[in-house]
Amino acid sequence: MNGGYDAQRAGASLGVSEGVLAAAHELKSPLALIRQLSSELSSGRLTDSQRQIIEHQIRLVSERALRLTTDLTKSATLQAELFATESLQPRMIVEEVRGELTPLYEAHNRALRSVRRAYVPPVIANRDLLRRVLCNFADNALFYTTDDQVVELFVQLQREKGKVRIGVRDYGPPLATVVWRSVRSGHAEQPLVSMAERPASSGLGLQIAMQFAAAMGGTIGAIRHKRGASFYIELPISRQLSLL
Amino acid sequence: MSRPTIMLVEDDTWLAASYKRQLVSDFEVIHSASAQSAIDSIDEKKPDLIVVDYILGGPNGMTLLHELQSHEDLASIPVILLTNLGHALSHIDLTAYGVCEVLDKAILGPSELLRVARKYSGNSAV
Repeated sequence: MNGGYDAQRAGASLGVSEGVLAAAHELKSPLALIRQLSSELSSGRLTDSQRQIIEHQIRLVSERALRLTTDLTKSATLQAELFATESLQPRMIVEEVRGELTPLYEAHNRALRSVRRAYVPPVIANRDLLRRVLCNFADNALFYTTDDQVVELFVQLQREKGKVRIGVRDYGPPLATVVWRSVRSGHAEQPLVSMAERPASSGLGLQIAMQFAAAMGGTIGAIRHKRGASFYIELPISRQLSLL
Repeated sequence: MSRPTIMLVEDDTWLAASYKRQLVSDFEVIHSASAQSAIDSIDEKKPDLIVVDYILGGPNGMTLLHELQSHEDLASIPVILLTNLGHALSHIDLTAYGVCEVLDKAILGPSELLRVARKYSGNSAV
């Protein structure tokens, strides 16, 4: 599979006005939270330790919102650029993502860990886009996780397909059928909202992940578990000799 | 004299903690992160006021309100609905669900939740 993608399909899957609406919806929650916490900081009613905690929370929420805006920007410019791909060791990317998001998880009293299995060969991917896809999945998983649950980053060899599956597993509520079907069909249709199961998501993150995956010659998949869900990206194994 | 009790139903734990800090001066605040846990808590202790986020993980705020309306002893508890989707709720008759006021989280003033909570709990102490 080459590194190009179907621009027409990518553009058709996210109408401009729908995309703007979805982006506004996704950004409103973190911005409302930042606003509320900032109001508290200026209220003068907090202890020093409370102030420190709130300042830390504002920083983490801002970073999360900025990840989304950066994803949106890259998504919008995807048609104008070719994203270079290279041979990457997926476990390294997984550890980078785990390191980046651990402070956010810890601030929420959650655990993010990487599952270690047998050796997995390198893949062909764009480093930045792959990180964004995994951060996207892990950001989402945090929302659907409670105190006693762990979110796992995993890497699995799909030998028969010549691919590697890199993803995030959570143990939260069931994945809505509409979302699962959309992922299987390859089209993240709007709206991807299931009020009964995993609400508060416009499906924008999934659409962006699909675009990024397609730009790298990969595909996005989802697995419905009895408890929770896995979201993953599948990428082709690199046939280049490893220099390690 | 015991303070009135608010059931705060909000799945964003940091936002819930912020609201609780605002309300705790006047109220005993019980926090639930989901509609189901709120229903369980209300069975144990009936609150004087319910503050609920419209969008929750799992069953949403409207599911909770439906449940409350189906019980005679709970249907009269005043409800304040918090939302980021004010524009999407304008066509729904929320008074039928016991909702006294809808507050937009994006423009909520620093002490507005406390002011509104005092108004509907009958606690006008300043």
